[in-house]
Amino acid sequence: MQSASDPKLRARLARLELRARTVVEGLRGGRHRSPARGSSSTFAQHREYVPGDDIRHLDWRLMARGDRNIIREFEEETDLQLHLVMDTSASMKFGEEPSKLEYAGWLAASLARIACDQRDVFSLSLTQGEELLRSLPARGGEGHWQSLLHALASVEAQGEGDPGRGLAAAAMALDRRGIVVWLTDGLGDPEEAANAVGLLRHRGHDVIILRVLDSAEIDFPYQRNTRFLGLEGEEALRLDPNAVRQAYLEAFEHHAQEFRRRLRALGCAVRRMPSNEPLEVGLVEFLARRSAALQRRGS
Amino acid sequence: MNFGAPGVLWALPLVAVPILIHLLQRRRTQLVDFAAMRFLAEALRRTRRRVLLEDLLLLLLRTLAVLALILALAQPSTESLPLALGREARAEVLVVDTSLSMDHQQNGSSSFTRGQALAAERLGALKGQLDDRAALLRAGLSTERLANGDPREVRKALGEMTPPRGGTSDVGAAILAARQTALDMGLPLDRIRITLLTDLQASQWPEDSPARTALARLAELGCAVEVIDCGADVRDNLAITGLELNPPQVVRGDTVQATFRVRNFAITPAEVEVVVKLDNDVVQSLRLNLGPQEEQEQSILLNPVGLGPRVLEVHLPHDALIGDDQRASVLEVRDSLQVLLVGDLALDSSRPGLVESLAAYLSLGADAPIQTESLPLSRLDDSALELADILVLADPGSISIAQAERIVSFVQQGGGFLMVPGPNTGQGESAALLEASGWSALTVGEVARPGAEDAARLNIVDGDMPALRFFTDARWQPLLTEVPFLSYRPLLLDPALAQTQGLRVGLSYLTRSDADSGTALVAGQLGRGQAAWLSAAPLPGWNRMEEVPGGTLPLLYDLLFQLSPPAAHPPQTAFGAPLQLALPLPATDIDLRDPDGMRRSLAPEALGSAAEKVVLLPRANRAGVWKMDAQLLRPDGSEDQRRDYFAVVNPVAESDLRGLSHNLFAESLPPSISVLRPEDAPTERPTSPDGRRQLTATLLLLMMAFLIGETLFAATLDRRRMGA
Repeated sequence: MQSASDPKLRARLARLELRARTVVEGLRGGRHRSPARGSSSTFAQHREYVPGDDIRHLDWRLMARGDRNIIREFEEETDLQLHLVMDTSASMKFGEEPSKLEYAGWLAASLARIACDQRDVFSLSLTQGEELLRSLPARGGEGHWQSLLHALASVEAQGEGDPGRGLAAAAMALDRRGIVVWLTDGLGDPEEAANAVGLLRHRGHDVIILRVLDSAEIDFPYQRNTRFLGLEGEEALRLDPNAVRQAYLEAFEHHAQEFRRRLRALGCAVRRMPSNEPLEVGLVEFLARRSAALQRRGS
Repeated sequence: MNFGAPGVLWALPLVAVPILIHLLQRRRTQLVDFAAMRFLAEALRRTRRRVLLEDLLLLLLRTLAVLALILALAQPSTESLPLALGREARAEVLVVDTSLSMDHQQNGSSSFTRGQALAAERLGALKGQLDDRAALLRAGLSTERLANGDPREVRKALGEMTPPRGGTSDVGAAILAARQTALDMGLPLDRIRITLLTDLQASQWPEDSPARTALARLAELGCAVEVIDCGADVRDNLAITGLELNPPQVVRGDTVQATFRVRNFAITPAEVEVVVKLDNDVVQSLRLNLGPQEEQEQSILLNPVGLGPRVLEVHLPHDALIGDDQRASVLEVRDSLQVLLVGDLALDSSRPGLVESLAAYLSLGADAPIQTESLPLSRLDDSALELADILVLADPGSISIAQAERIVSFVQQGGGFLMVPGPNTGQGESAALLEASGWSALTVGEVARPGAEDAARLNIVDGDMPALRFFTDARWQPLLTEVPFLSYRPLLLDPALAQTQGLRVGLSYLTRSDADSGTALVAGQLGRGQAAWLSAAPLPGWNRMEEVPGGTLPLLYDLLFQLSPPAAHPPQTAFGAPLQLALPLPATDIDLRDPDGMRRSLAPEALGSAAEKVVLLPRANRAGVWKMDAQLLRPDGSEDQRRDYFAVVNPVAESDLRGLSHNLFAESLPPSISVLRPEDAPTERPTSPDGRRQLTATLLLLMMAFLIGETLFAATLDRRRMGA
């Protein structure tokens, strides 16, 4: 994590905020009124603690007066929680102007901005390799969004491992049902990804997978003899790109299809997000999902 | 391989350019961080083998294109791609000189082996599957066609050829045989190459020699003709160039003079040790200092004791040509001359006749080299002659025709005959004998009686006659020429007929007025034997020879030796000459061994007959000492053993190794004949300009094909790879 006084970090933050606000404003101009009711969080009632409840919600004062563990139950501030899970493994470093990590950050900031504007709460989980690196709890408000921006700007892509396992680690920390948006390049094992998504679906989450890829990964445009250095410690490969292009593309697409097939089978949306495409595509997907989720809840 | 512009071949390393470019391109790689490595690794695993093969094929096409271009620019001959281009059949006719000089060694190889190696190279370039043909001819005393047809068979025959064993070679005949062989091959003559592998010995190629004439005829044929000089660069040689025995046969106790010559053919002086052996025992060893190109003659005197054929050899240390470092001669040593003195004794014992007088001179004792037996004329028959070497007929009164024929037959079979006419010799008897001999040029004259005052004296007409050589010395000559002849019977000779009948006059009579008064001694060959008529024999009352016995005895003694039967064969036999001898009795078995000790097959007629000359081998084809053991069949059925030796000698010319100047020799030949050293001789046949142009065009087409193939293949690959 970088310090907040780091000029580089500040510049990255400013860019992230500007990009998110611009995207969201542009998106809003072409849409209907937000379906969110927008209500403040209100205390509703007490109930006895049961295992699995968040201990942060224990009412210490009542507990001091009696011998029961009483937990405070709040009414939902919004209808929906947005959980942003972002893969920050070393492979996300790939790509230029922007890198996959930057592009995923923009997406996350934009989605959080929409949620913030619609009074939804949003959380952020940053995974590196197979581990959960950092998480911001599900909250709303401008301050929380700024915290999210800071977290996004300060993270560096590093670590090795299957991103599906990282998602699984993050999933374990998500307590409330909501829309989980997984920002990843999805270059890991489709089965691991399916396992993690299956876990989320089992817990009632609606899952959107925004697969951030660089166009070089999709098109493999290299011509000259190239020595490819793996970002996650893989053995370097020297080869003639022309000679292996077709085989690479076949392997890449085969993996993508398998990834998509497995995850769609679990009822989640998978959207490929080339880093050279507009962010709105991913955001529209999110909004459509959100609308559907609210409709289900309303019914 | 044969190229019109061989300098272009220096560009051959350029074929490595595509490979270098490929390697350089591999080195010039960019570094890229990449995320989707798992797919790259999988793609690489799937395509590695195919890509490698595609790259190798591209590389091969590019390399072949460069190679084809360079070869095309070098203008190769069609011989370089025989199978690919399906060239027409061709032929090699190889003539290998196998004269003694070809055995000259230098640096471990002889001229012969160098020629053999070159011939093998030329045969190796032929392909049996293309109907190529070859022939191998051995040029020796006669030409031998060792193989003809399949190049592999010819090559096998070449490998089995043995190094030269001596003798000279008739190169002219071999060239003509090669010409005929080429004509018989049935191929177009411009596809036949005739190669003569020789050492170009100057002595073998004199101006207007048959060999040069034959070469000129060969050139007219239209074949490619190459004369390859396989001789050494340095041609020094020391050789024994002669060995003679005088006389070639002796009786026990006599002295023989052996004369040998040693020659240094080098242009530098040489010191050499010469060893003389008699029957393998060293009898003399001497050291000679020979100047450049110098020949020295040495003589030694020998007194052989042992009887029979004796082998005298002269040896030099071995040098680069060993075939002429020894020379041999066979010396026949006889026990004694058996002289049969036939004539009738004088009726008046107080006046002895010629028989008594000759008997007195020829009775020299039991150990003398001449043993004489006397016999009346009436007792002269075959059995009397059987044991005689020489018949002396002294003043015969009457000779029957049968006796005359018996005497002539005896001489024709090798016996010696001395006729001594005297007072009682009838002209008719003499005429019968002379007629049987075929000596019609000679007649016996009437008795001449010049008397004491005008006594005749002998005159030496032919001092080279062996019987008279002693008297060519001025000290001894008067012992013969100063003896007065008061009476004598001159021999009358028709000079013209005498010449045609081979009669040789040794002595004549001179009277005081120096007038020629008839012939005293005539000799000549009669069959294998020799005969002589001597009218100047010692006869008291007729001449005063008894008063000067110092002259008479040598005359009779040497004359009898002159008439003695010849040896069974000459002391030496020239290499290539028939190996023959005279056998006194029919042979039932003959074991003939060559100088290597190998038993040799005999000519079919050698056994079973006692011919005048028995040919053992039509040609003596090894130099050195041959040995013969024969079983002879006597008339009474018993067997007799006979051992003999033959000394076969190499021609002296083969020792002179000096070679011809290539330039001068080539200038004297038709221009189509090449004269080359082996290292300059191409294995491949020269190609016509048309053939060269055709191959160059073919190579350029190949290059284009490679380039087009490479372009199409590369485009296909690009489309496949880039299209993906």
